[in-house]
Amino acid sequence: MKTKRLVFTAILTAFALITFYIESAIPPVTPIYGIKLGIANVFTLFALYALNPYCAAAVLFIRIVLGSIFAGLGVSFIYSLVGGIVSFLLMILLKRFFKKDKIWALSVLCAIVHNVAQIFTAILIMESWQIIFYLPVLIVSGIIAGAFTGVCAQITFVRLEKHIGNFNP
Amino acid sequence: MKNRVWIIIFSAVLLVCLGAWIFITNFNFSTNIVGIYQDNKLIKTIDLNSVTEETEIHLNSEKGENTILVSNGHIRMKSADCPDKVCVKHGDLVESGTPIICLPHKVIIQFENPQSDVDAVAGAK
Amino acid sequence: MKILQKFGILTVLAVMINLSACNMDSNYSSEFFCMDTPMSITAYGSNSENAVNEAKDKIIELDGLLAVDKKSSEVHILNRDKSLKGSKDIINLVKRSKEISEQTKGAFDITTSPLTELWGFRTYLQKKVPTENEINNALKSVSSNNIQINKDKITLENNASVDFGGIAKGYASGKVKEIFEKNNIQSGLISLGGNVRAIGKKPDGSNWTVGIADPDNTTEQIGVLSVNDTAVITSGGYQRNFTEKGKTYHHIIDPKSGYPADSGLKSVTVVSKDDTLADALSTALFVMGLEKAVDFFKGSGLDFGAVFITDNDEIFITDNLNNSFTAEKSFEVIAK
Repeated sequence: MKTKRLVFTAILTAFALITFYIESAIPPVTPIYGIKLGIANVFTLFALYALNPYCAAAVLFIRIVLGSIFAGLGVSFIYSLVGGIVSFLLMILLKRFFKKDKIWALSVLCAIVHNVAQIFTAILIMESWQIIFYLPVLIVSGIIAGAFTGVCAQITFVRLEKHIGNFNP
Repeated sequence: MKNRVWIIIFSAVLLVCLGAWIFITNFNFSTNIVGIYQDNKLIKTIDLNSVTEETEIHLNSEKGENTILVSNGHIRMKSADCPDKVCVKHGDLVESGTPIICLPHKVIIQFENPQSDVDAVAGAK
Repeated sequence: MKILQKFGILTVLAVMINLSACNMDSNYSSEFFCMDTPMSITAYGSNSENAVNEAKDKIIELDGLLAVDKKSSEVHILNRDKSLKGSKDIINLVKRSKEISEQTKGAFDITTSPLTELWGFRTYLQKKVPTENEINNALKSVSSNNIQINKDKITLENNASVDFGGIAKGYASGKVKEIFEKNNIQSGLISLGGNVRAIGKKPDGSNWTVGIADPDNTTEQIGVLSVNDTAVITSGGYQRNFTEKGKTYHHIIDPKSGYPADSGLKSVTVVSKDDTLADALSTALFVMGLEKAVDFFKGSGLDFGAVFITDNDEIFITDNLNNSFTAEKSFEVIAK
C-alpha cells in the first residue's frame, strides 16, 4: 500500500463521514422514512474509479461504522450496512461495464438496489410485509439521489483525472 | 450502452414507480364489510371496497325471494317479492343510517362493526 | 493541495444542496404512571429514544412542581405560604390560567382548589357531599382575581389556594411537543391519561385517528377524529365521580355555584394546537353547558374545535371539525 494512496483514502473517508454526519443532522422534508440523498456515496464512487475497490470498500464501510457510532448505534446501522454491502457488491461487479462517462448510471443502479435491499431488511426486521408499498417511492428516490451523487462523482472524477496518478501510483 | 439509453431506461422506471406510488396512495386499502343476515344468521359478508363489478346475490327461502345488488362501495336491495317493498325503497346502505331490513323475509343487511383501530382514545385512561 | 481544496468545496456544496436525511423507521415509546394517571409517549424517528426520555423527565419534573399533595411541590408551598417565588413553568401556568379564566368569564378557574378538596376529589381524601355552609365558605376565596403575579412572584389574596388539575396535563403535553420539536421528531403520539396529543402525521403520512370515549362505556368510542399536529383533550363527568344517596357527583366543579357543574353535558372534547388551552377549555366548556359554549365558540376568537356529548347522548361538533369527525351515530354541526 503506497502511503499516498493510504492518505488519499483516509481523506476521502473523512469527507464521507463528515457529509454523512451533516446530512443526518438536517431534518427530513418528507414524512417517509429512508428518503435521502446519501451524498457520502460520492466519495465511495470516486474512490472506486480513482483508486481501487479496496479503497472504496474502506471509504464505504469505515464511514458506515463510524457514522452509525456518531449518530448513535441503532437499528439504522443494520439498514445502512445491508444497503451498503449489497450496493457495493453490485458496484464492483458492474464497474467494468461502466466507463468514466457512465459513473452516474452505475450510481443510479446501486442506489436503487441499495433502497430495495433496505426495504427487504425492514420487512424482515419489522415483520410487516406492508412496507413493500414503499418500494416505488424508494425506487424513485433512489433514481434521483443516485443520479445526483453519481453526477457529482463523475464530474469530480473527470475533472481531477489527470492529477489522480499522483495519488494512485 | 449509450448514456441516452440509460436515461431512457431510468426515466421509464421512474415513471412506472411514480405511477405505482400514486396508485398505492390513492387506492383504498380500508375495508367496508357488510353482513347479510337471514333468520338472524349471518349468511354472507362482503367487502364493498373489493367489489369490482356489479353482481347480484339471490336469496331464496320458503318465505320468499330477495335480490341484492352489490357494486363497488354500494349495496342495496334490488328486488323482493314481499308486499311492502320497504327494503327496496331503502336504497343504498349508508354507514350512518339504518340497516336494510326486509321484515317479511327476515333479511337484514348491515355494516359489520370493524374492530375499532384508533391510535389513541381521548377521555379514557 | 488544490485537489483537497476542490474536495472541500464539493463537500460543502453537496451538503448545502442536500435536501433530506433520516434513518429508516425507528420508534420508541414509554408507558408510565404520573400525575395520578397512566401515560404513554411514542415518538418515531432517529432520535426517538432521547426525545421520549427527555419528555418523560419533563413530565415527572412538572408533577414534582404541581402535585398539591406533595409537601415539596411549589403548589403546596404556594398554598401554604400564600406567596412564592416560582419557577418558569409555574409562572407560565398561573399566567395562562388567569388569562383563560378571564376569557371564559370564570368558567375555568384554578382557585376552585378548596372546593375540589371539600368534595374530596383528591387521591388522599374521602369523597363526600359537603354542607351548603362549607361550600359558601369555600366560594369566598374562589376567583382568579385573588392571584397576583409580579415578575416571578405569585401572591394569593383572600386566603385563596390553587391547583392545576384542569390544566397541568395540557401544559405537560405542550412541553412534550416542544421537546419533540427540539429533538426533530416529525411523528409521535402522546396520551397523558386520556389527554391525547398528535405530533405531525403518522410515519406513513396519514393522519392520526383519535377516538372519543363513550361517556357511558369508556372501552367504546362514540366518534373518531382524524387529526395531525394537534391536542385532543376530553373532560367529562364520567371520569371521576361518586354516588351518595342515589345521586352522582362528578369532579368538574362549577366555580360559581361550588357544585359539580350540571350543564347537561356528558363530555366535551376540545381540539386545538394549543395544548394548555385545549385542556383548560375542555373543563370550561363543560362548565358552561352547550348553549354558552356555542356562544363562546362563536365569539371568543380563540382557535379551537369541540365535540359535545349531551346528557341525551346527542353529539354536536363545531364546523371546523366537520371534515375530521366521523361517528356511527348522527351528529349536528355548529356553524361559527
